[in-house]
Amino acid sequence: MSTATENASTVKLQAQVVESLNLVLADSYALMALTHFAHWNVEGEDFFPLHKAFQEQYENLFEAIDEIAERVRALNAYAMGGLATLAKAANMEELKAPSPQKDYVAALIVANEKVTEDALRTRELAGSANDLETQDLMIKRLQWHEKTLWMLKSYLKA
Amino acid sequence: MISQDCQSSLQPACQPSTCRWRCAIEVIDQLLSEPSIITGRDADDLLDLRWKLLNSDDAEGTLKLFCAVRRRMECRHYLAFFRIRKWLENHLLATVILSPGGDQQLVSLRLDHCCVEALRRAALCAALREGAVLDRPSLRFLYRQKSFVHTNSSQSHQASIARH
Repeated sequence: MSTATENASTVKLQAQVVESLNLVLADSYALMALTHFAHWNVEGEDFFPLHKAFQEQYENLFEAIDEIAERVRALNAYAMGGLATLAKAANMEELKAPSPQKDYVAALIVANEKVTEDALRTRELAGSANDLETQDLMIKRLQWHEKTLWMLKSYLKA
Repeated sequence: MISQDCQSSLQPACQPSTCRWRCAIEVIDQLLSEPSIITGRDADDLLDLRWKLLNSDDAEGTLKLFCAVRRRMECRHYLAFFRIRKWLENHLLATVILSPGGDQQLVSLRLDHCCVEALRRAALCAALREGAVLDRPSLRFLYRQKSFVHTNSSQSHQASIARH
């Protein structure tokens, strides 16, 4: 393969990494908003543990969003932004209040699964582009989302 | 009935609407693949529901069966029934005529109840506008895609769906 073709291929792969990273950014922002909503509106028997767990989750997401956006900038691209743009890109269904406690948990499981799918794709793309820093960031995020999914699913177990 | 595109939650183009919910059939198959947690009666019920979803145009019959199975199994398989419920909400709707000769309204469903009569009542309430008269109303449950195919004007129907 000629150097010019190699360069074009690398540039294309890097653009895909950035696009995918921006989608994880949008997903994480949307999930943070959903989790914050659940934190505010959950009510009933398990109010205190769920209220606290949701708070821990949206705080983690808030920090993660900054890291992901800064990684996009480090790749010499611009971070996606604006509530409408982020919501459209993430395409997550909004929660409704009032809802049963278990519905909040189930909806957050579905939303965490969506972030996980997109982070997995980003991890693979970053690996193909030999972008180990982005790959490392995605691995860190995947570990957190998988742990969160385990906790949320455990709550729903009969 | 079931969209050919709706194979998994990974399909962003799942029709109708932009359904992100995992296909109901896929969820049922996943439950059936875990014999250690599914009893004989559970399996029978799930197979009936699966058959109904795949082979029947009878949306009300599907809803009735879903409600019955949900009442019995949801407490043990909450997440699976949440996924099926959300998928049904995105694929079914109610057509409501409030009084003879009145306009047909399309109403989105929210499956907050485990009884078809309660769902019917909620859909009627959603269709009622201020000043509207309820006189021998009629209501039918339909698959969204099918209703769009029948009328061949999905955009105008989409616009008339009561938002709630």
